[in-house]
Formats: sequence, structure tokens, C-alpha cells
Amino acid sequence: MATFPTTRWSLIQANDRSSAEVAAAWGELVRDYRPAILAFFRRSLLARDADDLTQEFLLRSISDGWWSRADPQVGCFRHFLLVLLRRFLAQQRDAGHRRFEVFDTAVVEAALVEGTDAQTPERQFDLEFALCLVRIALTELRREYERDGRSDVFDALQPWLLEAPAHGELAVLGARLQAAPNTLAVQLKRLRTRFQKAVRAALAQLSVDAAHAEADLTELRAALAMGADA
Amino acid sequence: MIAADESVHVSTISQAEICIARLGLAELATPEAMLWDELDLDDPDDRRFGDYELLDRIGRGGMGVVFRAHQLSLAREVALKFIVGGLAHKASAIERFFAEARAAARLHHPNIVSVFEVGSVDGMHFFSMPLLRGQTLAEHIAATPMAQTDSVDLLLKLGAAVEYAHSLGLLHLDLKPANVLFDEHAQPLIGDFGLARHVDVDGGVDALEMSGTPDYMSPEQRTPGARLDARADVYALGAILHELLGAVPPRAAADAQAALHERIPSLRLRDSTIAKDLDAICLKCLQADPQLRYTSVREFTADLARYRDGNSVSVRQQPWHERVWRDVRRHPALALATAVALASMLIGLASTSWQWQRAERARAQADREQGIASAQSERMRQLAGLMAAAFPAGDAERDERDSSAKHAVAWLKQNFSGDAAAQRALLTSFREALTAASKTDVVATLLSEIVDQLGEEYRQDQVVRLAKKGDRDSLIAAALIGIPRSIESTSSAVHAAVLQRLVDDHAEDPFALYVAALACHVQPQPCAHPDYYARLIAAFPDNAVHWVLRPKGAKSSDQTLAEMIKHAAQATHFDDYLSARVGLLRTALRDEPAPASILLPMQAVIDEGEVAPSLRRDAVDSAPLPMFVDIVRACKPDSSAMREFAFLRSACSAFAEKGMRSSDATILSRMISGVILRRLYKGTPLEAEAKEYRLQYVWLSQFASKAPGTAELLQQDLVAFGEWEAWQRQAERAGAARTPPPGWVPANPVMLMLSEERPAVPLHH
Repeated sequence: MATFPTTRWSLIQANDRSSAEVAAAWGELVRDYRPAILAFFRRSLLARDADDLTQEFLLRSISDGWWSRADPQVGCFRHFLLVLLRRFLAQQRDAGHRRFEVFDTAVVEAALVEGTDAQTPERQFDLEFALCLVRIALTELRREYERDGRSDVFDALQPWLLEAPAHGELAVLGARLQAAPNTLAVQLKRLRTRFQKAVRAALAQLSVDAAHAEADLTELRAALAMGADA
Repeated sequence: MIAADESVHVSTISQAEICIARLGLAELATPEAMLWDELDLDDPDDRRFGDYELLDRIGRGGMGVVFRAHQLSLAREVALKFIVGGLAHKASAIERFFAEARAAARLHHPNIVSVFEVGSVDGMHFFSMPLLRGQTLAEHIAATPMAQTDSVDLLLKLGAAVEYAHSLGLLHLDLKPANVLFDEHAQPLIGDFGLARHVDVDGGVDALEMSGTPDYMSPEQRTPGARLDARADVYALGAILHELLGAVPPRAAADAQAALHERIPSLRLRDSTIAKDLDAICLKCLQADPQLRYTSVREFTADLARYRDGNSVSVRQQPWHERVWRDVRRHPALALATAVALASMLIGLASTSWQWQRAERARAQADREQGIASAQSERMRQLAGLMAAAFPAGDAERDERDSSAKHAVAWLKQNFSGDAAAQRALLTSFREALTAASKTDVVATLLSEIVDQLGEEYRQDQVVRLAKKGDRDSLIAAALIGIPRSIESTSSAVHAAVLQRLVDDHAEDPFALYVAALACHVQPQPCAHPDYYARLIAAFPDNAVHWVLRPKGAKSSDQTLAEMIKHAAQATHFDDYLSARVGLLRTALRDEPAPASILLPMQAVIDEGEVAPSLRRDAVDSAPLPMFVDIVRACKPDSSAMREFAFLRSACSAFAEKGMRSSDATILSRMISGVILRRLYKGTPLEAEAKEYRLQYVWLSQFASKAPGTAELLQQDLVAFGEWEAWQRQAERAGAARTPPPGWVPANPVMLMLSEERPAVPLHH
């Protein structure tokens, strides 16, 4: 039971799959997390071209098979994607002729325009990545409810994920769903738990093992804690 | 132009989305909290747990929560123990738990609590066992002291049970009074074999994370990686005997870390009625060095039986007085948690706050467990050592090192804001640890970060002071120092006034006007004074560099760029004023004392006398240079401007030839000019000349150093001889030639290539 199942990420790292299969899996992954990629470029020095860069990044990563560069030690998709993005951006900036040197004078220039941590592309990337993850988890969770023939319950309760409705509102909901308010309160509690589990399941899909997924979770949580106000 | 003002697109993320995401990623209740606090035993849904119905909570400890439960399929009451704590989260630990618990389920002994079932439901791992309604030995001792003879009988039974388990290859490793239960016939049974370990082919196991109960745990169990065998259980049995005879576990009173390896004092010092033989047997079990203990539980019970029967025991007069000191000061669990947290923090992968809190918690916990009266300085030293160990060093890791230093100082700035003394204390420990780890190159990097991030006050003071002096040189120096360093800082009012005065009062002075236009050109925010540039090029159009300094935020169409390059190409010379500005800055900042806010942190890294020169060097080094990005882009052979304007090609090459060969140009200008020429004149002698410059520069850059002495000399040379010559002299001082030997290739040949010639970026994590 303790072996970690095959995930979207481990499938990409596996060497026993056909390249077409892996390319498709990769394409699907990067498209799912496209908003995070876009956010990264939007916070970069090349923000003006963010949309084009995102498109080019997606296309080239798929056509050139960038996933094959993933070291087996790269335990999670998010880290790998970030490494790719940084390199890609550096390449683009090189093409913009800014940094020639490893030392001294060019660094002076760079220091003047690079801004501070609060605005790093990485932070924005993490934030958007977390949001993508949550959207994916919610979609999957709704599918689960749908399979049980209870998508109406999901749709009715989802808006109350953050804050429990007052009893009166529960009564209205209950009348609509033909359920007692107390039952709905219990179901809402369960929805929250299932939602959190779904987020973890979606994240687990991006890692090779539980430890990496846990570390990923912690980092994303930290990014969210800092919020979008920076 | 790649400019900061274009880069800030604020995405539209709603607060509600963030809140939902926070909920989704929030930490789940620990299994323990879930079982103990959240489970509603009145709710039939909550009560149902697989084949069991939970009835009452019976107890909880460090590793488990126990319920009275009804097993539905067999219609019997059982005790159900759930695994919680650190063990419950690790896949490897869970796997081990199942393997060992199944092995334990095979034990059948009258003095061992059987394990009925091992399993997991919904990610909660448990085992079931008979429900015993008697007291535990711990409760029994607390209520009634046990006579010596009863204690011996009890230990003989427990010993026999442990010996039986050992014969099947299982070590208990958590023997203690709380794990001994009495059944309704007052027979002792050892419980919690569910956490036992199966020995490997060598008859032992490797110690893992600390998971036992410190009072009864052998010293080797606290040392991950150490080998554990039957003698660890011998120790625990001895500890139980000690408590039965002396009312306290052996190390409860002497719990300082240093005492861990000290000999346990004789029980007879407290109570002379305790038999000498029994005392000797007990102490034999409790030897810190396992080699000095009984080699097996059988030997122990044999001696106990001899004592009971009035025979002489094996251990009297044995020379067992050697003291074994072993350095386990470094708590391994602590080291791991802290190192991981630090490493993550330093490479900037994660938020610092959480990691530090966790590291702090781990350390606090470790301190408690080890009983260290944790001296603040010791902790700091330890932390610094770990930080130093985790810190990237060496040429290959330059980027990571720079970024790590940046994060480390940013962390320090944030967490010890305004407390220069604390910053200094931490940095001192860190510097010492770095030196001890032979990572002296990191010290220089760290220093520049300190100056950069903590030196803001110093720089502002200097701008104000120099502005007050008001002479031409002071104003120029103030203008150069006061240029905002980061994207969110704006120019101060004092600085803005300084620029205005330079333009108003020194309109005939090209250098003064150049500095005002430069400030306007490089500042992160759009410039409100495009007139500085206009005045500079109107009055002094003959220096190509002047044309480059277009104000930040100015519109740049292909046409304006092409026109600008055409003018620059017509200039008679190419002068970056580098020697002049370095000389001027060094004079203006000479003998200026540093404020405490920067003095103290810097003293941690360098000598006091070196602080002011170092600050001065930083101010000089950080003064900005023009940005050539637009020109390089427009001068590409395939640029749209090049296609549109026929004159541009010759204008670009005239501009770049001047820049590459001018002894008044900075190295940066010369290299950038070289790039333009290499693109325009592939396969020509001009390209070869540009490559030659580049090769020499890469050669010379090897001898660049941020070490104080070298850096100081470099600046002096720069003022006296110009930058190129200064770098050559620096190479000579390092014992190297000014030019690379024939056939020399740099370690990273990519550095010689144009960006478009470089291979795809190698990827590694």
C-alpha cells in the first residue's frame, strides 16, 4: 500500500512509454497549468511579450520534448517547470542582449532593473499554480459527485465552501434539495474534507512520491499565505 | 528597451480565489487531532471504522491513540490502537509498521499481548488487540511501590517474553512500564509489539528517527544510523528494574545531554537496603556502551534467576567502570530538519517563515528531548554551521551562491529589522562557520549583499551630506549614489534637487550634464526630466555615449532609434567617464564613518577598518552604466529597423568600432560594441578583432576578485589607468599574463559565443 501509484508526472519521467504518449501527457499538463506560465512571464522583464512567450514556451516544450531533460531526481512537475521557465526566460533575455558577463559590469545593470523578491516571477507563478491546482481539484471533485448522481448537491454547496450559510439559508437550500438543514451541514463539512483531499490528489499527480508532494504542498501554501497583494 | 516600467502587469486574482485555495491547501488535522478532538462518537458515521465501531477513547501517547471498539464481524470487544505522530506520515515508516506489526501478530506468549489484526482504513493505520482491563505497570508503580522480590519475579517474566520475541527475530525497542499491562489474573503482558522491528541478517537493525521513550531508551537508540540489537531491549529492561527498585527511571534525574553517556550511579547510594547483586545487575543493563551490557536477555534473566536463588551472579567485581564519551551533541533529527529547512530557504524555493518556524519547532523539541539547557549562542552556532554547510560555494555555483546570499541577508533584514547587534551576532557565527567550512568565497558575496540591502541608510546619509556641501564634485557624487537601486524605490526629493542643480548650475560641464541624464536614463521609473538628455546632446553631441542616454520611459520607435544611432555614429569620441567618476566618488566618500545600522553587521564579516573602504567601493561599483539594449537590438542584421533604414548598417558599425577601440570606454561598452560588430561582419577581420577582445576579457575576468585588497587596488588602477589597463594589471598581480596564451580556451567556452550561437540551455534541477 505504501508504494506511490503512477502519476501524471512519473508517467512523463518513465522510460517505458512511447514518445507520443509522453508528449501527449506533457502537453496536457502544461496546458492545464498555462495560467501559471503566463503569470511567470507577466512578472518578468519581458512582460510585454508574455502572451507570445507563453505560446512559444508551450509549443517548443512540446515539439522539442523538453520533458526528456528532466533529471530523475526532479521529484515534482512544478519545480521542473520552473527550471524550464527560468532557462527559457534567460535565453530570451540573452537574445535581448542584456547580460554578457558573468562578472561585474553587467551585474550592475541587472541589479538596477530586476526588482525585488516581492515581485519575482517565481512568486506569481506559485500563486497561479496553486489556483490552477485548486480549479483542477474542484473539477475532479464535481465529476465524483456527478458519478454518484449528486452533482446538484455539489453545485448547491460549493459556494459555501468558505463560510457556512446561516440556518435560514440552509433551510432554503434544504427545501430545494429535499434534505434537512442538519444533513446539509454535515454534507458541507464532508465536501470541505473531500475538497482538501482532492487538492492533495491533484498535487500527488505532479510528484514522484508522497514526500515531494508534501514539500510541494508546503511551498504552495507559503505562496498563498503571501497572497496576491505583493 | 527592456525596462522595468513595462514589466509590471498586475494579474487579476480575486481574494476569494485565494481564500478557497488556502482552504484547499490548508493543513489537515493530524490523525491524532482527528481521532482525539474531532471525531464525533455520537455520530454513527464517525463512529464506524471499517469492521469496527469505536466506543470510547481509552488513552493516547506519543505514537498512538487507543479506543475501545466493537469488532463487528467477530462480535467482540477489542482495543484498537491507531498510529499517530511522525510515524503516521512517512510512507517508509508506514510500510515498516505493517511489516513489523504482521510479524508481531505471529507472537504467541502468555506474557505478550497478542496482535489480532493490522490494517488501515481511510489512511489511518491501526492494529487491534485484546482489551485488557487491568492497570499498566506504570499505574501500579505510581500507586504502590513493589517489593524487591516481586520486582525480580516480574522482570523474570518480562525477560522471558522479550527473549521469546528475540528468538523470533523481533526487537521491541519501546519497553517501559506503560507498555506492561496486567490482565484480570494480575499477570503482566507486554504490549505494543506493533512497533517492534524485525532484525536483519546481521541480527540487528539500524536506528531510525527517535521514536521511543527517552527515559527507557538506550543511548544508541538516540543515534540514527547506529546499530541496534537485543542489548537495546536489555537496557530498557534494566531501566524498568531501576524504576521498580529506586522509584525513578535511571536518567530521569540526570537528564542533561552530557549525562547521557555517564555512568548511572549505584541505586545503593539512595537506598542501602537494595541488594548489591541486584544493583550490579541493574547497572550492567544500563551501561551506555552496549558492549558492556549483557549480550542477551537470556544472560540477564540468568543472572536475575541466580540472584533469586541465592547464587553468585556474573557481574560483581566486573571492571565495568570505563567511561565512554561519545559526541552525540549534534542531535541528528534536529540537524536534518534544520538543514532541510535552511537549504530550502537559502535557495529560495519556499517561503522562509514556515520553514523557520518548523526548524525552530524541531529544535525546541529536540532541546526538550535531550534536556539541553539550550544556550542561545550554542543554537546560533549550530544553525550557522548548518547554514554554512548548505551554502553553495565555488565558481560553478556562482548564481546560486549570489541568490542564496541575497535570501540570507533579506531574511536577516526582515527578521532582525533595526537590531544591528543581533544581525552582527548571527552574521559572525555564519562567517566563522563558512570559514571553518573553507567557503571563504561566500564571505565576499555575503558582504556585498549586506552592503546592498542594509546599506540604504548609509547611502541616503551620503546623498544628503554631499548635497549640503553643494560643490560640483559633491553634487555629481550625490547624483550617482542616490540613483534608486530597486524597482520599487523612487528617487528621493534630495536626489531630484541634486540633479536639477547639476543641470542648472553646471550646464557648461559635460560630465555634470552626463550624470544628470544618466540618472534619468537608468532609474527604474519613467523619468520626469527628458530635458536633461535634450540639453546634453544639444550642448555636447560629440560624445557617442551621450546619445545613448535616452530618458527612461521615452517612446522608442525604429525611426527614433535609427536617428539616435546615426547621431551617435557621427560623434567624434566615445567616453564613459569611468575613471573620472570612480576617482570623484572615492574622494567624495573618503573618511566617511558608517552608521551603526550597517557598521555592526559588516563588522561580522570584515575588520572594522575595512568597513568604510568597503562601503565606498560598493558605492563606486554600483554606480550605474548606460543601457545599450535598444542599440544592440536595432543593430542586428535582421532587425526591422535595419531593413527599413539603409543608413543604419554603416551607422551601427561606426558607433561600435568607436566603442570597441576607445580606451575611454568601459569594458561593458567595448564588449557590447564587439557584439554588434560580430553580427554585422561575420567572417571579416573586424569580427576576428572583436572576438580577440572578448577572449582577452574572459581571460582577465578570471582574475577578478571581490577580496578587499584586490578590489581596492583595482579601483585605484582604474582611476589612474582606465578600466582595461586596470584589469590587465590585476591579472599581472595574480601572476598571469595580460593576454591569454595561444590556444587558450575558457572553462566554459560558451562565454565566447554570441547568445544566438549558444547551445540550448542545459537543464538540470
